[in-house]
Amino acid sequence: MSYAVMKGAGYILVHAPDMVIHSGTTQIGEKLGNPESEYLKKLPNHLRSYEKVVAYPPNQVYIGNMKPEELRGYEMPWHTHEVESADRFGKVGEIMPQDEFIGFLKAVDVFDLVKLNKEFTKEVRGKLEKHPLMTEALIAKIKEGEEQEDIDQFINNHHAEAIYQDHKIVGCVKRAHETDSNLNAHIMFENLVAKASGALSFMNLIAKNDIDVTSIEYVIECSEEACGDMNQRGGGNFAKAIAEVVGAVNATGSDTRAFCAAPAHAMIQAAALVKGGVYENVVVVAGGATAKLGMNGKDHVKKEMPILEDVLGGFAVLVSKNDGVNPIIRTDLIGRHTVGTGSSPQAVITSLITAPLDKGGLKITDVDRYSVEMQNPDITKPAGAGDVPEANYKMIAALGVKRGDLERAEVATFAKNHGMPGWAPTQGHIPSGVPYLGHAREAFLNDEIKRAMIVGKGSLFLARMTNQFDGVSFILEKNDGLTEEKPQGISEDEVKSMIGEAMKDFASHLLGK
Amino acid sequence: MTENKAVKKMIGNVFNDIADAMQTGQFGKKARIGLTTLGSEHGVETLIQGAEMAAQMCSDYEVILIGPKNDTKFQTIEVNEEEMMHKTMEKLLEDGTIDACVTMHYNFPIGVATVGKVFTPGKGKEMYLATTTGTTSTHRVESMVKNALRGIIVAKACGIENPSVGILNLDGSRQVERALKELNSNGYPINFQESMRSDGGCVMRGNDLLAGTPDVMVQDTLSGNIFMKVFSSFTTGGEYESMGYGYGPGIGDGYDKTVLILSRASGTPVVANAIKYAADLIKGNIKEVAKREFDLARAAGGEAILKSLIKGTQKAACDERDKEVTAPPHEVVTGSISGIDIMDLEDAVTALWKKGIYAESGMGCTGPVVMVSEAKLQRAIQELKEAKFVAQEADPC
Repeated sequence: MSYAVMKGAGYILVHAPDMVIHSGTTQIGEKLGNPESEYLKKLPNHLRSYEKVVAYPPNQVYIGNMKPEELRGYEMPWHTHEVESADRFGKVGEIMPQDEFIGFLKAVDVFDLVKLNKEFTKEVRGKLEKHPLMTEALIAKIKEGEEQEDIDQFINNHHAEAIYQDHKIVGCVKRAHETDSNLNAHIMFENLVAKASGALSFMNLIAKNDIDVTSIEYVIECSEEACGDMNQRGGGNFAKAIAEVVGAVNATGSDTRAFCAAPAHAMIQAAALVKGGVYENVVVVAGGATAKLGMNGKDHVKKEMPILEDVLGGFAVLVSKNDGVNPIIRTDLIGRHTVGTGSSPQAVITSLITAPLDKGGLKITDVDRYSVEMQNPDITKPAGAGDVPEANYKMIAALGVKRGDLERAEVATFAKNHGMPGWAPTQGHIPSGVPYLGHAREAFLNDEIKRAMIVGKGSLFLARMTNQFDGVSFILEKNDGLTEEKPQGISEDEVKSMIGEAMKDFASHLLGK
Repeated sequence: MTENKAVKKMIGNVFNDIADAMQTGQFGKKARIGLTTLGSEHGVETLIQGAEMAAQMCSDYEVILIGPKNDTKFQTIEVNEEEMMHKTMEKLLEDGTIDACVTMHYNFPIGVATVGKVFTPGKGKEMYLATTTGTTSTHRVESMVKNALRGIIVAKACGIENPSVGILNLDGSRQVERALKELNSNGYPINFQESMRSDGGCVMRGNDLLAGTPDVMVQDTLSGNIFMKVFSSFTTGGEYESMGYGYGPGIGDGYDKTVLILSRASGTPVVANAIKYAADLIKGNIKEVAKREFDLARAAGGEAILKSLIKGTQKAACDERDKEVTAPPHEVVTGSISGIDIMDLEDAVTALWKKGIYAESGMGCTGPVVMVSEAKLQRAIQELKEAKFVAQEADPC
């Protein structure tokens, strides 16, 4: 059986400034606890325009128009720079403006929970008609819109969640049940956002990689939301819902949950399904989280910075049968943080990085690129959380010195030679290892790298079920073409020996025993 | 389907080899052994005559000369200067033109040392000397333990299934014996040779050197180098090394070239024997044997044994420090603090323990964090700030 390959990736961002104010938990918490705070007053003045968001260098990297390494050419803070003639459409994705996304939210809603007013509907239908990936069928689902009074009624008397555009209410999401709190308007909104941003990522994956969507047999969704009702709070199935939107008529799917480590878990599962011959084409997909918008907003506003956590993230990756071309997924060299591993960074990095390398007889320096938690340091450093990719690379380098793979002098340059600056938005599972997959594929196909390692980690204590941390990692390698494989279990020496025996036997007959 | 094709291919190859053997009288590929011919105290001619003697001794290998033009029947890669000669040798080894090379005055990297082979006068028995040139470590005992492993590798590659090992009674030999015995009991089997002397023991005396008691004699490299010279030139008075197989191949963990060493005083018979020694190593798959044995030794905890030989004062000091600070009683930790440099994380944890705050280190999706109970979170951040660890409450994933 040969390895599965990574055949393509799609990455999207959704500019969501109004959602920062109304859906980010930092802001919601502030409204509840300190409604007159300076922060809330200043916040609207720190929101970036769509054009600025498109031209923001890390965002151009995210959608594939720039390589991660190119960020080194910009002096930090990156938000003071704009990429010239930045395109909202990327090599492997796009940056969608909020209004189009709200229209798309209605298009993916099959329970008539999303209500948009007539004026907004007309405007946004016109915009989406120009969008290269929006089909007539999808746009038709947006319908004609409702009267604003009806929308106001839903919000004021029926606990609907208001949808804002440019600080004005343009619609709402109704609750899906009178009494079930798991189907309240807020949760429906969050889940519809996850569904829509996941679907948009999937659509970009298909379109930008020339894939036949009917060839997809299985979808694994790996965001951090839960959809269900009071009797089954996390029943699912985002994967199937997304597959339906994008027209993957031959696919079913399921949701994989593991906090931020979920995408890496999902990739390994997808690779295992393909390598084991269960399916030939599996898509791993996840949309974004409105809750995380503006998470570090207070620090950013305090430092007179714009709000940088103003985008939802999404990605989709296709894992397929070995085609002799695309990079292979080494399912035999998986790193995993186990129950017995321990929580210290040394233990975590050893289990995720050096253990699988040892299994494969590889040195730390045999991996050309490590994609760890690729959070954008422009966001995290002003918030006091440091540079997350750099911290990871430091620990890997330190272990490398301990093992003798690196000289002490090489520690300072390890991040430059084997790592990358971070670029992904702090959307939890979104930056965890997977943002590099699209770039990696290109680098492999252009013979720039031979081996990359993708590492995902999660902080499970947040759910109060376990104190454990978690993580898994996998290695991608250049495909050396579909070579004829050595049959398992037999070597040339054994064949020689058997033939020798047979010839002796033959000879003994001739010699009359 | 593809499996059948691959098996068919294998069987086809084997029958082709058999047919070749029937037609040529030679089974298997000839090893190609290089010989550099510059640098000898006895002149280029001595080395070339060594090649001719080797060719006469046996036809299992082919000799390729690397050096000045000559009128022999050997293929010669022409080089007229020593440094260029060694560079050429390395290139030919890398691109597979030659399988191994015999040379002199070649520097190996640290960790690679040569295993020589001599005739012992007692009964004319051959003995491997581990090691004769090169440095396996700057620490004497560690280097002798590593030398022993290299001796075993070469002996096994040359066909001795379970080579007997003796440690020469030099400074440090008892520690070497202990370390090797530990390796043996951890699962890397070593066949310890008893001394010929009546009081036995696996530490060898001078008598055992002359009697060739063990298959592999372990000593430090400088001593091994002396024995090599004495064994090869005691009949000629020292100037001309006339006996033995030379200083042997350089063996190191991850070192994948097969280079055998001669001395500038090596005579024609030693050159010839060294070429045969090289061919035997190639036939015996020295590279595979070396990798296998190094992996086995590693699996038997070799690294840890070597580390414990080198007394770490740092480690001792660390242990002392840790003993002073014990953790306060365990608490549920759900508050996380980020912003601390990853290399200082454990120190930050210890600093909080000293202040009576229970803490754990962790690494989740937002980088390295110190975890404390929610109730003590703000106090912990304050303490860490005062202790000059930059600290901030971390974002929930």
